[in-house]
Amino acid sequence: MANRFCVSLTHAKDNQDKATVGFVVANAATGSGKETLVFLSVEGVRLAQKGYADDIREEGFAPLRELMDNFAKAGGTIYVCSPCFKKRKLDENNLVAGAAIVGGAKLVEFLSEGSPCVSY
Amino acid sequence: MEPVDRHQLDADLSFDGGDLDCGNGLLLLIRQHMDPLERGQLLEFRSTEISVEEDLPAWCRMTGNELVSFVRRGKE
Repeated sequence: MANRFCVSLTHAKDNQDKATVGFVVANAATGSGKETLVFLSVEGVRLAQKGYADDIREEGFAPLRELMDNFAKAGGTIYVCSPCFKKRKLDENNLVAGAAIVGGAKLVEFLSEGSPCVSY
Repeated sequence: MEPVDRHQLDADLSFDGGDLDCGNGLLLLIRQHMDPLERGQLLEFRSTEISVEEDLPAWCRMTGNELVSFVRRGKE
C-alpha cells in the first residue's frame, strides 16, 4: 500500500463544495498517516492566498480555513501551480502555511514515486 | 541544497530561461539543452521563475542528473 496520497484540487469559490471536500479528504489522508500533498491548479490556486478561504463554509462541513489550517499543522504539503498562479496575478508573498509555488516536475516526482491521486 | 556565492566549476553550456515556467514548456527546454551534453559535462541554467528553485532539483532527481550548485542573485 502506498504511503503517499495526493489530492488535486482545481476549484476555489467557483465551486466551494469541491474545494471543501478536497481538504476534507486530504485531512483524512494525513489522519491516516499518509504523506499528503494537495496540488492546487486552475482556480484552486486562489486558495493559497492568505485570507481568501476565510469566508468559505459549506453546510455540514468545517470552515475551509479551519480544514486548511489543520492540514498544515498535520504536516500536509500544498503545491501551487506556478503558471496558474501567475496567470491570476496573485501574491507570492502572501501564501498560506504549508504552500509552495512549484512547476510540473514536483508533482510528477511525487506521483511517480508511487501515490494514488483523487481530483476535485 | 543551500545557495553559494558563485559556481566553483565552469559550465560547458549556458541557457537563460528568463521567466519561463512549466506552462511555457520549460522542462522540455531544459531537456533539449541537456541532451547534447556528454556525461560529466555541466549545464548552467539561469532563471527568474520562482518555481524553478523547487522544480529543478526534482527534475534532476527524476532524470538522474546531479544538481552541482546554485547561486541566488535577487530574483535570479
